[in-house]
Amino acid sequence: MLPLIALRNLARNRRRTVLSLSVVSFGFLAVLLTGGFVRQSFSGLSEALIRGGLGHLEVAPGNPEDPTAQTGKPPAFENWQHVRTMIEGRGDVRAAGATIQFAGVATHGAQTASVVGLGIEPDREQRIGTDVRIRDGANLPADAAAGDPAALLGMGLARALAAKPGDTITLMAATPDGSLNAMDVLVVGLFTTGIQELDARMIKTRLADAQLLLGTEKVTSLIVGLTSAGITASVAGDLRRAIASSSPALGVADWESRAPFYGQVRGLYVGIFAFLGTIVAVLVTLSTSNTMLMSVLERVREFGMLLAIGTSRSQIGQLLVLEAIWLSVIGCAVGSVAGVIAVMAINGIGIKMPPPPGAVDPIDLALMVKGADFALIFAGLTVVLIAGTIPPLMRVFRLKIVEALSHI
Amino acid sequence: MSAPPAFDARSLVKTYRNGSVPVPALAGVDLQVADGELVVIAGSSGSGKSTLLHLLGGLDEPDQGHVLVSGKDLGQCSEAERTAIRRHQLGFVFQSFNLVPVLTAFENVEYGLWLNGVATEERRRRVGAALDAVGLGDRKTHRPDHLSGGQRQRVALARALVHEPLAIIADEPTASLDSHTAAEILQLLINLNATYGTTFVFATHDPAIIERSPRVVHLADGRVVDDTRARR
Repeated sequence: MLPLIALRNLARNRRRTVLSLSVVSFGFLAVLLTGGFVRQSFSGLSEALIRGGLGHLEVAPGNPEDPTAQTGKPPAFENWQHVRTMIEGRGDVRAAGATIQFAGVATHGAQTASVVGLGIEPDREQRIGTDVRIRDGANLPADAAAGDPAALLGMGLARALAAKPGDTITLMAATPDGSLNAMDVLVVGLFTTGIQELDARMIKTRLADAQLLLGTEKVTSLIVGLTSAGITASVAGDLRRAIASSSPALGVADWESRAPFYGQVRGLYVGIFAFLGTIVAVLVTLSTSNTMLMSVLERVREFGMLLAIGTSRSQIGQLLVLEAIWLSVIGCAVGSVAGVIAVMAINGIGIKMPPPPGAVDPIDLALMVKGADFALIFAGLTVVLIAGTIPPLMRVFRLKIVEALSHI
Repeated sequence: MSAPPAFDARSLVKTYRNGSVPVPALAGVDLQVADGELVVIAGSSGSGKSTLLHLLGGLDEPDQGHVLVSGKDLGQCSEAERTAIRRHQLGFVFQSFNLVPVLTAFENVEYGLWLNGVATEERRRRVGAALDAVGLGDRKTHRPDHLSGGQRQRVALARALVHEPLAIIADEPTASLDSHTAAEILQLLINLNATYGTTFVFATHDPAIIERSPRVVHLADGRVVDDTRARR
């Protein structure tokens, strides 16, 4: 019977109830949309990192989780083909592509620029699902042995060298024994990593061309693409066990540990989300607590009567809590409907956001909302609303029946 | 061994404070109300009628003295026990009706039974009977704001009666009603007392009601100054 009374009590002062419901609904909507945006951002960023060349896992000598471990060092992965055969034998691995990282200098005519080079296997990149954003020309030919040495230039590097597809540039790098080697490579295309600073330095060649330039058959690492990001941790564990006895020692790192700025971005977004959530919680608490306190003050005589005829104080407390729960149920239901409409509208319109600082391309304003979000926000707001009943509950628990009955 | 009286008030003293000024409400009241009796507490405004009813009903505690309800000393009870006594053994009717405005007449009456843990089917049967008994069988679905003052008081009476309490305490139940309706309510109380044997204690200063009551206890300045039983 208390739930019925609680529900009908909400209709007593409709204007006040509508105001409270609006606060709850807008709070629900704000948290739902912000959460959807944050999740989409995390998902988009992680997907961009994985498909941008990090893969899901990296297997390399030493400790690949240390991003500076390979810097300035010649390739040291000797038995990589054997390891790759083992890795690609798993059903949950799309491919394991060998890479070589190197630093050097590129010249085109009178233009010279220092470069960060990456030798890759185009066919394996394709199988891994690496997203190569070609802006002019074509991608590297998939056949590792076909034709002359070829390269893709980052957009900024191409501008610095005044190079375009079809031009030949000279690439110089130090071999493992310290001597300088040079080779002419054909620029087959221009690409972007999505990050301006990288585009100004980045050059990609086929693995065989990079090995030829550096005079080595070793590679820097194997980039492993999985069938699903969700299995990254378990596959990493399996691989660590499988290569535990390798000599020299090999390490396995997941994409997240190799992209520390992802953790920073995530921390920043989570902080913003928590700040917004706190503001919403405080607003909802203050608003509903005030509403319920007003409601209690208007019903002092009624509470006195209820206590007089044998209602316990805890039952009156339950009544107030139920009113808060009804506010939450109705407010969140309205917020859910509004949220679904808003998510569909925003995702349907295809709003473009300006490129983030340091990025090249505009990003889509998209929201990723899951069913569990609705339940979680409802639960959170219900807790907040129940917390808002504490001041009115204290007022009720202090009521003296006789004084309440004579209250005007 | 005879059953204990419905109410046994002994040497009740109650003083309120108006700021720092003590305001004596009861100054040593003794009163026994037998099971099934109908007693009117009469007296002018400020004589202590309401205070006495509050103490008899366990709504307040005396500064001195004891109240025994059916032999149970309220002063020895915890708040939960007093709540249980009010819920199971007593019924209350107030001057200003005090119905729950969001509930229908039926639901207002049903509430008392719900508090007592009566099953739904049994509640429906007893609420229907109680509303019929007070002549409101055709007003079950009306909310209080769609009922007249007399009808509201009848609903309050049905609510007080429906769980078959030991006694009903009514504080000026006719004060907000016109004389005709007040007479009807009084007759209803007398009939219910006669029909169900329920103990009634109610306060009034209406001479017409006092005239018709079988026992009248007069209070003045917080003391019993007269306790008259009608000779009929």
